[in-house]
Amino acid sequence: MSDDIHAALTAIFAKVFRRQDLVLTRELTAAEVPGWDSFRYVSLIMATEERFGIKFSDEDIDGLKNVGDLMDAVARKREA
Amino acid sequence: MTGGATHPSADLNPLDVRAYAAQGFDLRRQGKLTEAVSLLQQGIARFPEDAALACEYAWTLSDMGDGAAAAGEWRVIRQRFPTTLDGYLGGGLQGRRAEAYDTADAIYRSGLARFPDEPALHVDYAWSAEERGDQAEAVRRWSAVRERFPDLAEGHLRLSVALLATQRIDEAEAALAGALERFPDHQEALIEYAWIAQIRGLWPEALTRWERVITRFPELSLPRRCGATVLLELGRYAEAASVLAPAARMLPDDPDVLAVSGWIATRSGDFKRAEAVWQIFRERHPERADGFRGGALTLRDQGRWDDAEAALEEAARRFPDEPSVAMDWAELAERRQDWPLAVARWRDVLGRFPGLSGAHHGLGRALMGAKDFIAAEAMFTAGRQRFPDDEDMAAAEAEAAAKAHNWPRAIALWLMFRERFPGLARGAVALARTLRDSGELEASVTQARAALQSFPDHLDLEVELAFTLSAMRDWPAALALWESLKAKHPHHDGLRSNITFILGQAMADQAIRGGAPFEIPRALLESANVDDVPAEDQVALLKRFESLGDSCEFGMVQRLYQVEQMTLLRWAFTTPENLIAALKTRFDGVGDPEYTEIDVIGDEYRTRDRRYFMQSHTFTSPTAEPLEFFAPEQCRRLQWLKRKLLDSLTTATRVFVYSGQGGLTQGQITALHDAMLPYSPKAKLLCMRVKEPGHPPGTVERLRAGLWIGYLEKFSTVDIAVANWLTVCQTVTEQMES
Repeated sequence: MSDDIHAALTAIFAKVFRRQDLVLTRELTAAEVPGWDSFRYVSLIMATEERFGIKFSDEDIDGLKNVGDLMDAVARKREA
Repeated sequence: MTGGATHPSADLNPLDVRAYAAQGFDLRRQGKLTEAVSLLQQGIARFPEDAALACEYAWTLSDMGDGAAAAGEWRVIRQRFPTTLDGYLGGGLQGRRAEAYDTADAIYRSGLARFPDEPALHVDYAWSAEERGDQAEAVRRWSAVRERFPDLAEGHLRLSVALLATQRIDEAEAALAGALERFPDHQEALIEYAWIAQIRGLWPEALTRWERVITRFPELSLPRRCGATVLLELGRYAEAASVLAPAARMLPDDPDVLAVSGWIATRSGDFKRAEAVWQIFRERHPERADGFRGGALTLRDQGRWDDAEAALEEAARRFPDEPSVAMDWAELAERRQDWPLAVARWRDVLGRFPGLSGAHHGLGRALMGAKDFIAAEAMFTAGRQRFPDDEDMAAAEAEAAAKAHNWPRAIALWLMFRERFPGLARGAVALARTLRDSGELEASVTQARAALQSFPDHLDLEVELAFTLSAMRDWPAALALWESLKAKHPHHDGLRSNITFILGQAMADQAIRGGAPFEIPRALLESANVDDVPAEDQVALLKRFESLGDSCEFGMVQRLYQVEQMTLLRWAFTTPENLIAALKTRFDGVGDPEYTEIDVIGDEYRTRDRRYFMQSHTFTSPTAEPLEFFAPEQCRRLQWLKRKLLDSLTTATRVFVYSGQGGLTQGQITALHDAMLPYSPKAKLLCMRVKEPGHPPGTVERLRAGLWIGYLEKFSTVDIAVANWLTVCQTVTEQMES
């Protein structure tokens, strides 16, 4: 897990869900985050794209099951 | 008493006192009042102690309209002949005619002291209260009449009228039902009984009752007019015309009959006939506003708004004192959503007709349309103070406060509503909703549960409770309640629609959260025509498609299979013309705050694009996200989703789906595909239609490369034809790959 990706995503999650106490682990899923609905999910993806200057494809988004998947997807996109 | 020049007829025996009275009565009946007076004066001169002659004389003076003289005569009669009933009946009547009700009542009471069992005195005494306008007293007196003289139909009938006037509608109806048991063929009672159902808006019951009157009195025009009006309200236009036809034959020029005939034609959309009827009406009855109103509203209903404007302007000029015309004109501005004009017109209506509750409602509505919620609330407050019994006014006031997000005020107003109208569940229902909207979820649940003690099993109340539990994401409790509601009301379309909506939220939560932390009851899944565990190939299949509208039906199909695409138009209502316009401009302006309206409908924010009129669900409750956070974020989301849509159109890997609930012509279908082709020559579009001869549900017709029409059993976002959708998508995929 890249520290800068983790730190940036922690800030994004805090802003999107308005929760400063969220502890981001690779295993964290939407089920464990109150308010994580489909529209907040869009906000999360948007904020992530903006922060890292990347664009996710539909397939990228389909494959995301937890925070670890999101981190890996960001890392892959940055390398590409 | 003064002498007269009239001579009695030759056959009158001047020694027979009864002959004077009888001949005087005959003359009075023939309207020869001066002759009657002269004759009776001669008789009285000859027989001054005869009470019958004196009474006949007083009745004649009364008929002549000489109230003061008649009252004087009756007073003398009561003094000289205190045991003569007519002295009290005539004196009381004279008092009522002079609107001297205290005097009349005093006369009746002295008469009743002497003749306690005389029905005519009791009846007239009750009439006195009714005519005075003291309806509460009228109820008491007519109740006494009914109790003492149960075989007198008048007592039953007038009691119900007085009860109606005091808004005691249930009791009025019960009184009439009792009267009809005793007098099953009483014309007035039958008519009143039907009328009560009509004013209550109980259309099927009103129809049954009017049919009873029509069957018993087929020659009467009024029951046919009213029966036809009820059928009109029920949308049964052909039957309305049929019921009215005999009245129209009997009274072809009767303006009331002609008016109903005109409204049947207007409301049924038979505009040619409507215009003809209203034209005849205007020619035959130019003094009545109906013809001008009917003509104008017929133009309005054809969408000819400028013509309707001109017609109503003329009607307003001809009938400046007719409130219905002024209200129609103001309402037309409302329909055109020209809110400044609507506000100005309603303000004018209210200024001229301040006693009309409809004018308060209209101005309040127009101010709401203009989004001036504070002024709207003030308007409804003034209306509530003026019309304290108008529950709709009180409700509108609270709703305006809620629209302004003035939650403490809205909650206070609903509490006040509940106190003012304790028998109505509406207050408790709205209070639960308002508490939820204000973010007071726990309080909403507590309040709804407490109210259910007073209104057990009340559907709307239970629905509000279920919505709040859903908003709390307390899915086990929420889904259990939704399931029990579905079991109790299996055929309620509105409830099924709510369940489908909630199921979508629950499934989205499950899909996004990547697991199943709660069970969705099988009964709820069955209501959405879907299995609880979708097959992987069905999921993969539906991922290859993307909705372009025009409804959220395909979005729901995808959601039922846990396919959660992030797309712009998945939950949108769009028309083909607007969608084509948007495609041609690359959805220019979508998501700009300038072009994006956000409103709260039910428990959800909805967005509306001002340029292309796309309206979209957000599935986001105001309780979950205050508007000040939601609005800017939603605009950003829309802009991002627009970019995704443009990407998707350009890559053209997905098949776009357009539902076409409104019915699509082949020209519209090809025009839509043509508008997509500039993005990519590989653009693929599947448009949907309802089954036709030769195109059974589930079949697909290929129009050209990349363009298909799929056929469904029906369009519905409630009872979705899921199997048809899957078959159509499967067939299109196979054709693409072959």
